[in-house]
Amino acid sequence: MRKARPVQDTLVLLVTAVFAAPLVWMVLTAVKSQADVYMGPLWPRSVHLENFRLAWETAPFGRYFLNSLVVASVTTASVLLTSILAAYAFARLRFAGRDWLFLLALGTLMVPGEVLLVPNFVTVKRLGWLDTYAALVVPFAASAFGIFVLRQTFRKLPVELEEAMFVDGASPWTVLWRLYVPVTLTSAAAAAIFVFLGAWNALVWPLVVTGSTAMRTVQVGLASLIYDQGYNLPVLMAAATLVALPVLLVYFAFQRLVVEAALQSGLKS
Amino acid sequence: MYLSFTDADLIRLPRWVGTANYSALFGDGTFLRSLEVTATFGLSVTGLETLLGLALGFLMHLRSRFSRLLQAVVFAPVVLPLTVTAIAWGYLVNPGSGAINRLLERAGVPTLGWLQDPGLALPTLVLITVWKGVGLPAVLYLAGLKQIPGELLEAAEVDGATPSQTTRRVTIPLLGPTTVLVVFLSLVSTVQSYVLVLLMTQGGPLGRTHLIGYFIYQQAFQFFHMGYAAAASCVLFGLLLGLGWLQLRITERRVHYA
Repeated sequence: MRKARPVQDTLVLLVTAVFAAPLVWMVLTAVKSQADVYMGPLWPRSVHLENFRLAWETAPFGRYFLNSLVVASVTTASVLLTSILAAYAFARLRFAGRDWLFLLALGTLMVPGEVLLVPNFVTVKRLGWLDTYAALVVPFAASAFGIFVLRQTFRKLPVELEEAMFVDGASPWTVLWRLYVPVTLTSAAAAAIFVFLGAWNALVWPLVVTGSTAMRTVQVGLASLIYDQGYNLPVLMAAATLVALPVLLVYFAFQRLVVEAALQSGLKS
Repeated sequence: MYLSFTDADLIRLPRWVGTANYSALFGDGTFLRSLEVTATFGLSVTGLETLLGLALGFLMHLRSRFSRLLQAVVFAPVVLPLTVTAIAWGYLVNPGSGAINRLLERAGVPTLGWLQDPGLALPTLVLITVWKGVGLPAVLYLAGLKQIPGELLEAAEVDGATPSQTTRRVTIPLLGPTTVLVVFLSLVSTVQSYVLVLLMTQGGPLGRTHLIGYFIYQQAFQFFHMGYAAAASCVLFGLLLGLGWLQLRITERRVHYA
């Protein structure tokens, strides 16, 4: 424990409190009675945990959570797999047009998601994928950013290690999974958490490509509660808390990795 | 790109209409207005995120027992879903029952229509966006500060520089590359952002929060003018490419200085 420095400590805590306030306020409101929200004191007078149960029941949140979990997991697994394979190919294999293809893949980084919203929607509609898991996953199943980050990490490994394995009769496939993947586990994990959170938080794309309740994700479900005029404020706050909870848990558990991945994504440009 | 030259509406087969979408766009008051709103929004958020990010970076760099806590809390909104952000803030700035107005009321100050007043709605959105986004600039600045070698600061001190001189003449210039990065990251992300508008104001009041991203969304998914929306997307893409080109030029100049 570092020694106390009253001035710095107070300043740091004050700023922390300001940033935390909106979320703290959300959780406090989530456990209030409806009367307290409008008239009562800022601090809840009694704790109403049943708001969480009511929130869970106002919409088929069980189904929404399941959908989000499936979509985010499959997207993450797929991005990891495609990134590992492509990154190895771009980093170590020799084939005609490799550098040219790599530039092309990097070029897709330049085109932001918002610009692709309309063309991707038209493509998915023509494929007849509207309202399916495929529409939610396939457009995000590969990521130039993942390829780029892993390629950089792969290239840092001395080529001699790989050559030694080849001399011992290993195939490129073995080299990839036994050598490259294990040593780059941290950066792959960071990328994976980042992709997962991104997929979990996605709102606009799931909103436009899903129509039925059975296909909706948590974000779409929560957004429709906002538009629902007759809502009960504490219950809305409870629903928001439930949706925020998994994200915040993952974030606080893997904070270092998440921040590192965010820094990398910032530094890429 | 092809779509932007058609009148695609998802029902009939798209027909080639040449540059009609583009000429219509530049005669469309709503679109031109959205460019203006986007520029104001982008520049305000970027300015605030850069300054506040720098300040927070310094604060995280202070040797306090609570620095890790500060970093964890300031960065948390970055990973928070926008729906949750919209709900938490929607209640805070609610004109009747919101916490901010109730605190103002207690202090005896007139309450404000944060998202209802046409003059205040965009600033309120800027505030919320900065709260959500400033964690990234802050940790980027923190990383930049950690990279500055201690000998350099000691040398300045030996030469008789006051702490504030050292900060202004040594530390901040050395953070130059970080600042370029922060400014462009922030511009690129705010120019395309519109989800809070979609969830909180729907472009209103009086179109004061009608960002270009929201314009595209509305044309495509409320009016089903796919070709028109694609044309607006191309304009947005052009804007972003311009920003990318500018960043590249500035970064290259920086490298020569170093």
